[in-house]
Amino acid sequence: MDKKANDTFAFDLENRLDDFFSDALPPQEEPPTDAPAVPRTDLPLKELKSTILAIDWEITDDVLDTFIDQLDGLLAQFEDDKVIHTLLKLLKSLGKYVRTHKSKAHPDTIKRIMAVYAALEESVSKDGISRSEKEKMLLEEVRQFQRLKALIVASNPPHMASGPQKPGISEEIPGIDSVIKAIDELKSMMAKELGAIREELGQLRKK
Amino acid sequence: MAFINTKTKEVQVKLVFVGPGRGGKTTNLEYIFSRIRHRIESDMVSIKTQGDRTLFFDFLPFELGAIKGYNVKTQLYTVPGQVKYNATRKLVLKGVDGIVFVADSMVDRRENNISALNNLAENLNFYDIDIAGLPLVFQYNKRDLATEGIPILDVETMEKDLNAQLKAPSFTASALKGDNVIPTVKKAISTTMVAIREKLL
Repeated sequence: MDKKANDTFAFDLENRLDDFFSDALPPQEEPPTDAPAVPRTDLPLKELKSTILAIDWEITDDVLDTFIDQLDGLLAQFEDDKVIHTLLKLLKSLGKYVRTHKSKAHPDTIKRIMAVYAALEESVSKDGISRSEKEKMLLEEVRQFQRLKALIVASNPPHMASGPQKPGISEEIPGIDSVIKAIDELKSMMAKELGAIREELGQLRKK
Repeated sequence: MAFINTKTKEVQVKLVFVGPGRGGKTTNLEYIFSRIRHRIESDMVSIKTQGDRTLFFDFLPFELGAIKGYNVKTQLYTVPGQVKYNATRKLVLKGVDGIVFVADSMVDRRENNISALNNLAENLNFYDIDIAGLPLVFQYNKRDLATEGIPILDVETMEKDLNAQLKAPSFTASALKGDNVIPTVKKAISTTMVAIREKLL
């Protein structure tokens, strides 16, 4: 093939590609000029997200240890926020379960970790999200967590009396008791708040 | 192998976006689609799992137009990056003409990039294709994460890890923001077309 033909081909090709990808672009949205800075509370979640993505790729002791450590840090940081605290506890329980069972963990577990993380991220980062919206999200995550727990129990047939004792569900998903306790506390707190609102409404009606 | 019909003067080129899971392959295709959708008749097809991951592949076909009298039809594919979907990855690579390797710039994905590249070489070997002889473009994606304080690999390290022997063209990019996505795909198409030009001239 002669050089001239080659050059013409390359020239035609470059022109075609430039035309195809460059002309008549749809109007691009202008990026906001005053983009808000990343909230301080968002930064620790970035690290957690990165770790979760690493778990999704490969389950190793190192990455799970990092995951649990990061969660411990966040649990201390968000101690006063019941919803976030409970979501973090759910993540920790799931993380401990994966650490114990590794590749034999229920296949839905990683998906659940990612879903809980998504709810956590929304609770922490989304501006203007109301308390009731957060609580609704939490209750959905708890429901899904319990569904997974039931699936895990169902996939473990009862052991023979002579064999080694199979761990119960509390050991199967470590930390489950503390999560349930936190949810109960949350429920009781919500019930109290609802009671107070009702009482206030009753008094207003009397007036 | 590109499909060339000398009677109808049509060339069909298949480019596959390959790389580790969650590296941004689908985001690349979505951005390309957003830029060209006004001028193509076809749609982008994505088959995803519940968790929004690519289960099978994404597929974006479009007609590039006439080059040297041939109507060039391009097909862009992505493959699932997760280790467990190797069978699908291998299948999508059948008949590939060019590769865009989308590497993840996050520090903790370094090994994953290397594994994904080795896996690509193995899968190409299955079709008797030597990775060194195939048109290939590297994209070091997610450079924007540095601004969020997430540690990323420097370009020299990524070049050394992935491209030291292949010496393919490479781009830093942010598929999420669209930075360098179009130059990457343009380079991949031109490199691939140049590789098949002898059959056209």
